[in-house]
Amino acid sequence: MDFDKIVKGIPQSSFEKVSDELVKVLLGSPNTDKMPEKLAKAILRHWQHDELSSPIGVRVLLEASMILEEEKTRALLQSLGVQV
Amino acid sequence: MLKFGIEFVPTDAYWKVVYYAIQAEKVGYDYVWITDHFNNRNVYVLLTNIAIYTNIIKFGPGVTNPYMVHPIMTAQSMASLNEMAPGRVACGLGTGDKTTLDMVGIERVKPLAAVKETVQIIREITAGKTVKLTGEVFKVAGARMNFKSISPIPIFIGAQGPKMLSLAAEIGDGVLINASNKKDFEDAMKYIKEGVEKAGKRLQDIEVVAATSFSAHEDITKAQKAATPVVAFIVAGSPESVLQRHGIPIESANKIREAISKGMFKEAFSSVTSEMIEAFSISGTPSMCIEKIAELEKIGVTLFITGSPIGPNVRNSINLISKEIIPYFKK
Repeated sequence: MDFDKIVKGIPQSSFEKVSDELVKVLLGSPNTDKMPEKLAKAILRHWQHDELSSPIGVRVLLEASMILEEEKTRALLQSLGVQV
Repeated sequence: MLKFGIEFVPTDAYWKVVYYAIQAEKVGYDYVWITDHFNNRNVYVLLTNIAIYTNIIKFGPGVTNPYMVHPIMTAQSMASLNEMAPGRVACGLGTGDKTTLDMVGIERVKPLAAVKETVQIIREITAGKTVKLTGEVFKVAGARMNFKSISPIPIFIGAQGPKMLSLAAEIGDGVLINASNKKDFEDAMKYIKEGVEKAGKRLQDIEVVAATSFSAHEDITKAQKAATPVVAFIVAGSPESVLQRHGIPIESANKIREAISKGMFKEAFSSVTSEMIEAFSISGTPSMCIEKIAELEKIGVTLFITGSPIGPNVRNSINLISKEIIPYFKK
């Protein structure tokens, strides 16, 4: 999946909303063992630096969310009008 | 001004707990505490990550115990963390959770002596001294670390009974009281005052910490529902004297105890009454929580910890607490 392309398709004004919803999906997921080490660290680093609503922040959240909760993530993106 | 801390039990993946710790720092909490039980994620792994991903919030084990982890190792861990995050580290120390220690087959021998000796060992060894101690519980024959802590590490002692409360106030930098109701704090303050007087200190020289079971939500029913499982375990683990103080019938507590011991959690939780929730948690709407926190502050609490469950949804509740509760006390 081309995550960069998906992120480019998200309007700037929706970044905060998308980021918030993706965090909600991740924190609520029981599939924590699927979280790749690299993405967990990237999420924490971007969160520490207030970058989770930036394009790079949304990208890592999206990638992690697709791994942990693919169906929920697809449904979420669809409800937000984001093309996958 | 009242300080705020948050406590996490690392039953969940490390990155979730660290996410919440970063959130807590962003919204104005002063401390984050991680509980220390062998059956959860390792406390120092969590704290190391918190040191890395936060910048100003203070943190520490809340609380470790000298039976499971030798004081020398606790001292080494704390000094190492203090090198990563100078001045941000605090050591919470107690006598451990009996149920967890029982699982490992460790007996809680001479708790007062154990705590006293542990404080001595941690202070001396983190200061770069050679520790020689023939105590009632620990015997240390000349241990010395190859480095010392960058700065002194404050030690907060978990206490419930009169003797431990007094000792904690006497030798600790803070007394950490695992309770949520003002009756418990009114009682505890008598012994805390005794302890500080014995040490020739003033009450304001130490932190009086309320480590509460906390649950905040705009809807009181949701807040209390989230607190119910935690309260059930507190009731089950409370001595008779504590139950009596809060007017909880022993038979009701026994019913919960029995159900928990049989793994019948649904039955245990359904036996929790509103009186139990009132006695053993602070749960409700933000304005209800503010009222109760203010009562504790008036009694002498200087650091208020929002402990498990925090709320029906941890992330949302941290945001709620930061918007509606913390600002009231930080004005």
